Formats: sequence, structure tokens, C-alpha cells
Amino acid sequence: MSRFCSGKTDLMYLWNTPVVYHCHHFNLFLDQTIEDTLGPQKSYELRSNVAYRAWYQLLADAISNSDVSTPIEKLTLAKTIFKNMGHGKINLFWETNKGEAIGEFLHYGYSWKQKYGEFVKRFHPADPVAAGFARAAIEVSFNLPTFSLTTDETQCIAIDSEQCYFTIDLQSSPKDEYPLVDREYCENLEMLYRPGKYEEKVREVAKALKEFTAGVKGDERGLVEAFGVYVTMHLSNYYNGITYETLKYLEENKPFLTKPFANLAKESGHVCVFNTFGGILTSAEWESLYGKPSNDPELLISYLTGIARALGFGKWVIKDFEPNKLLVLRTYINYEAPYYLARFGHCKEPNNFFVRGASQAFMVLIDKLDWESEITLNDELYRKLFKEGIGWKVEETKSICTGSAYTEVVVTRE
Amino acid sequence: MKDSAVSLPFSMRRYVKDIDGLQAVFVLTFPDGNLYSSWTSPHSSIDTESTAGYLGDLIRANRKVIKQLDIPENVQITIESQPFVLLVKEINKYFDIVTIFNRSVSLGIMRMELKNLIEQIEPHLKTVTPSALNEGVKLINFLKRYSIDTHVALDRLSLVTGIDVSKFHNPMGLTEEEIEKVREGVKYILGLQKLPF
Repeated sequence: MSRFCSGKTDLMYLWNTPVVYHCHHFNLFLDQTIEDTLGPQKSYELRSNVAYRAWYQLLADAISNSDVSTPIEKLTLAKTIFKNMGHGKINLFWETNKGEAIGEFLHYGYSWKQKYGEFVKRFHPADPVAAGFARAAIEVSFNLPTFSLTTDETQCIAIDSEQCYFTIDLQSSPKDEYPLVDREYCENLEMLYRPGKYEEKVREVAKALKEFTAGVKGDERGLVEAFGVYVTMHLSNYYNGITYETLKYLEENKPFLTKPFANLAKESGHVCVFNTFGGILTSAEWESLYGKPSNDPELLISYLTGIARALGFGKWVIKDFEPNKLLVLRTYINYEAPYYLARFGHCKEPNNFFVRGASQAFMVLIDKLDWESEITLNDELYRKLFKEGIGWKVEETKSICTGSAYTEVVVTRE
Repeated sequence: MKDSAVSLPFSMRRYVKDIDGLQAVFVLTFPDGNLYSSWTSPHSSIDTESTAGYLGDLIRANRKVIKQLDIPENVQITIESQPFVLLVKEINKYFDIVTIFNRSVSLGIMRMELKNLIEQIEPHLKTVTPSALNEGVKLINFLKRYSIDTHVALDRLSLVTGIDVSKFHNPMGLTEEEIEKVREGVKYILGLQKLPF
């Protein structure tokens, strides 16, 4: 797989398609937020349609950059990409007008079961991302017209089925033809970059971690289990598509719901960074690179910012930092903004929700954990720490999406 | 000083400020066991929401035992442990109070402080019947007690029901139609096919 990490923007691409690393906490919480907003059926439609378009972009890109030629070769390449990106294993079958897909260890359904299965009963399937992939893979591999297939996830392990099963039918699906962003678009956006505090350490960490993750890919299950989380290399156009299409729907139909939506989109960033970045810092791999972390807040904030760059989140910079009091974080580019700009142009209200939640989690990780003791990061700890609230508030004071040169978030104590 | 996160009808703060060794106070409705008011010391590690949930179970069980054993009503139950002592007492037909003191405070002082506290709050509670604590309050309390991500539970409920989140901070103001949506929303979020009330 051809991964490109841009030194200019610290965004990441597979061939020309924007990608980013995210854990199952983020993936599940964001999908849940869309589901809460639109209801299970409409949200599944949106998520699978957005996923289809994003996967189609990637698979068409991958195939055009490879030497595969037959449908079976193309399908095999597609399944390998899916697996290597940590989305699980999927077997696809297609014959003339009908097909099916069988998923094993699909990231969403499997990790949902792992995280929530003991506490909550689920009644709706969890794998619209895989459903979208199945459509895209078949269309691209068999040279079918776009938007010519529909899928239906009739079985899902998250709702206690033995496997995840999808029917695939030759039937027109709704056409959404707004542009998706690609590498050329993202890299050519004007970027007014100014180095921030601890820049040398941030760059050093970003570089080391990019090198470390270069070889990371799905195991025999098609999952990437690392740092205490299930990691995916995922499609930025998917994340941004589901988030901003839903936001737009709310702005036009139910504006009083944009605030709880923004809060939950932010929380998906918070839960992600808390678990993934915390997991990285407590890992044996990190210890081999930098030793066990200390409680030095300046070192911690530079580590966290470097990790953000390494995972493809963009050019994140520490503008100001007063330990246990204040963080001002700027992103001169991030993976959220390009999609919004291309799709909708400028907006009135700041809306880089992931940056908000992530920056909150930075201060939480520094403030609430004793890095010189043994830390076990798990869902139980998360619930205990945040039952009464996060303790830090964040405001997005500037946003690339409103036309500013950068997105800036200010985090202070509640 | 921490009052309950959700806006409860009655604030304890002014009545407890001078009581040494007091860690928490809970006023709960009978028979539902819902939290009507609470106060927790900022130095305490007591988790208000989940403790209130379990105290609701305690006072219901307590009243049943009293009735079963034909004990005269209005008894006071003392639960001694380390590091706390709990005093449980019925205020009136509809309300019970639970105070949690540090073990270091003498039992005599605890009982006296509890008696004074009840004398101060009882006039307010005389004007309230639990029917004022409507279904909306019960549902919100239940959600906060059992949801996985409590700190964002109301945001989720807002999206699921389509009801402005600010209305959940005064659930007694919810209409019947909204309460029905909240009921379905709570079931959805908690993954339940029916609620236990």
C-alpha cells in the first residue's frame, strides 16, 4: 500500500486519497452520534452511501496505480486493502446481477461487541462502512456503473448474529456527486504555518512515530490491535462526510440540535485521544523510543502534539501552554477542514469538532493521570474520571472553515 | 460545594454549611426512591449520582422491613462502617433523608445535626407531593444512573428525541408528548425493550 505522509501539512494519504488513523472509540462514538441524530435507518443509509463514495475513490485510485487487470485480481486487491487498513476480513461474491459479502471481524461490529456488548443490547446492524466497501469493490472490479448497486446488512455480530452478512443487488442507488477532496486539493490549500512552542520535540516525535507506523497493518483477522485499542487507517472523506452532511441537515431543519451534536462530535475526539494517545504513551513501543513518560507537562504536551501529526491529523502547533491552566492549540491545516471547504465553502460558526475534543483530552491526560505510576486505560477508568464532567472547557476561537488562516482552540479549566 | 448536576427542585446548600464532618446529604422520595435534593462535600469522594441511585433502593427496602416487622414508623436507622456512618430517617410520608458523616463525629452530634436539618427542611417538603416529581424526572434520573457515558447522556437524549437539551435541566416542565419521547429515548440509549417503571 502506498502511504504518503506530507511533511508540509502532516496529513496522510493512501495514493491520492486522504486517510487518517483512528481507534474504535472514535469510530463507534461518531457513528453512534450520527445514529442518534438521524435514527438507525436513515443514518445507516447516510453512512453506507458516504462510505461507498470514499471507498470508491480509494479503490479506483489503488487499481489505477497497480498492475491488476482482471475482476478477480481487482477484487483481491480491494479485499487486501480493506484488511490491511484494519477494517476486518470480507469475502465478496458477485455473479451477473447479484452478490453477497460475508464479513469476519469487521472493525465496527466486532469492536462494538467488545466495548458495549456486555452493557447494552443492540437492535441495528453496525457495519455501513463495510456495506459501502462491498458496493465500491464490486463496481470498481467489475466495471459496473457508479451508483448501480445496493446492499443490505441482514446479519451482524453486534446484534448477536454468527457473522456479518450483506446482500448485494443490481439496483440504482441515490446519486450524490459532490466532490470529494484528494491529495492535490489538500496539499494546495494555502497554509500559513508558524512554528509553535517545543517545535523541535514535536517534529522529532512525529517523525519517529510515522516511521514506526509505516509497517502497521491488519493481522490475520484484519484487525490492528495496538496500544489497547483497535486502530483503523480510515478515510477522511468518510468521517467528514457523515459529520458535515449531518450538521448541515441539522442547521437547515433543527438548528437547536446543533449544540448537542457539536458536543457529541467533540466528545468522539475526546474519547479517542484519551484512549489512543494515552495508550501510545503507556506502551512498550513508546518506552523503547523515549522511556516511560514522566509528569513533566511540557514534555507531555509536546509528545501529544507530535503523536497528532504522526497519525495524519494535520499541522498541529502549540501556540501557548501554561501547565494545568491553559492550552492554546493551532492547526494550520487539519483533516476536517478541506472537506468542508470543498463541499460547502466558508461557514459562519467554527466546526472543527475533533480538534476541540482532542485538545481537551490533551489537558485531561496531563492533569488527571499520574504518569509515574502504573496506568491502566480502560472504559471503567474513563467512566469514573468523567462521570461528573471533563473538568476542562474548550472554545474554538478561530476556524479554517470560517475563513481564518488556522483553527485555534483554547482549553481552560471549568 | 457540589449540589446535584441536574437542577433539582430544592437546594440543600444553605442548610449544611456549618455542619462539621458531614460528607453528604440525600433527600429521596418515597416510594420511587428518586433524588429530590442532595449535597456532597467538595472534599468527599462520594459519587453523587450513583450513590443516590442505590440509596433509593435502600430506603425502599428499609420501609418494607419496618412494615414487615411492624416497627413503629419514623425510626432512625444507623449504618456504621469505615470511614462513614449513614443515618437514614423518614421525614414524612413522601420523603426520606440520608446523611453521611465521617466516623470521627460522635453519634450524639450526628443525631442532633440530623434532627436540626430535618426541622429546617421539613416546612419546605410539607408543600410538595411526589406527584410533582413527574415521570420526566424519573426518566432523566434513570438515564443518568445507568448510561455508559453519563456526562453526555443528555446530549444524546436531545438528539434521539429531538427535544432541546435545556428542557432536561427542568424535567418537570416536559409535556406529556415530550415525556413519551423521552421514555422511548431512554430505552433506545440504554438498549432496553422496556423500563422497570
